Amino acid sequence: MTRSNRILNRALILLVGVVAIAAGLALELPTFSPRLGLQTPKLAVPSDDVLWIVFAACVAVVVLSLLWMFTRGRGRTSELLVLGDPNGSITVDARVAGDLIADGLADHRDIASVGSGSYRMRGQRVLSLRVVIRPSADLPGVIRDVAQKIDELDVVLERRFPVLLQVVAGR
Amino acid sequence: MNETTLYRRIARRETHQSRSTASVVVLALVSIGAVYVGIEVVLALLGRPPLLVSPAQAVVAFGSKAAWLPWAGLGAIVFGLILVLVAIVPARRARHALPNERMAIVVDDRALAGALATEARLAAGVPKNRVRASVSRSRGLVSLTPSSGYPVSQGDAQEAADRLLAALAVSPRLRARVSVSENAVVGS
Repeated sequence: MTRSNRILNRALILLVGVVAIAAGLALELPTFSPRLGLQTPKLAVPSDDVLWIVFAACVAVVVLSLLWMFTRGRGRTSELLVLGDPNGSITVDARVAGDLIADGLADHRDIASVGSGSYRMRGQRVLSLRVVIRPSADLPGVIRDVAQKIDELDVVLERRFPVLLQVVAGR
Repeated sequence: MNETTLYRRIARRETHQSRSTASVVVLALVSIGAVYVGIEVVLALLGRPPLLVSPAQAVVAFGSKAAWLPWAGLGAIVFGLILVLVAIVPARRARHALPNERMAIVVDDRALAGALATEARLAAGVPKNRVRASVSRSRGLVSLTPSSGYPVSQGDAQEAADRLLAALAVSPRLRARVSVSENAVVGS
């Protein structure tokens, strides 16, 4: 789970794809233009000024690409809750919340294990729970019981924060 | 942001694959190309011999009818089309989202298949090892193999599976289809 914008990822891939198609079509021009009755534009041998501009463009592309690559996949955080106070601040780790829920479900016959993490999304911290259920589990029952534990956690932390529940099959 | 909107967004992210790995790979390739072009440009500016082709040679080659030119063009077009496809295809994961007020819920299709199998086999009275189930985007298939001499009601099993799916209300919507094998098996 990341904070990076998913539409931007796709837009970028689309942009590079369209540029590649355009460049490919341009390379076909000299071969096919006589048959299509088109003229191939004659390119002048680049002057030093043009070469400097090309060089600057290359540097810009590399720098922007590196920036992009290193900003993917951020957003995971271990702090679920940060309470500010004039006398200091209190931080609740996501593991604490996860463990509270996991302990409550430890004896559940349909649940094999519970994992937890948290991430930031749209300025909010989301608790993510990953519940591994047994093959013959009662799925609606499991979801009901997890929801109940979350209600109890809301009471303990005196806060209601967004929760993602992932249910996966164990063996 | 309102919680319902947030949950809808989370569910969408969890049921679709991110393209961030693909975008990083694409940009890595673009960067390698840009580094190479940059090196050739600097060598040309310094008046040194090129690594492969100097910018001037490249411009001349473009105007020529060299045999490799259309092939290079074709390669670029195919590469571009693949990227356009990667950008547009939805890339769904084998998961379904469940509506819930308090949390965003996503369930793996394998877990859904397990739940369907359990409901159907309990309703039909078939032992654990005689049921198979699979879930795709819009269909849940359950097949039961009866024990010899114990007739199995397809209707009961189908009804139980339908009831489970109605209770879960997964999205995208799932339809159950329970089939009972014609050939019963002897023993457990």
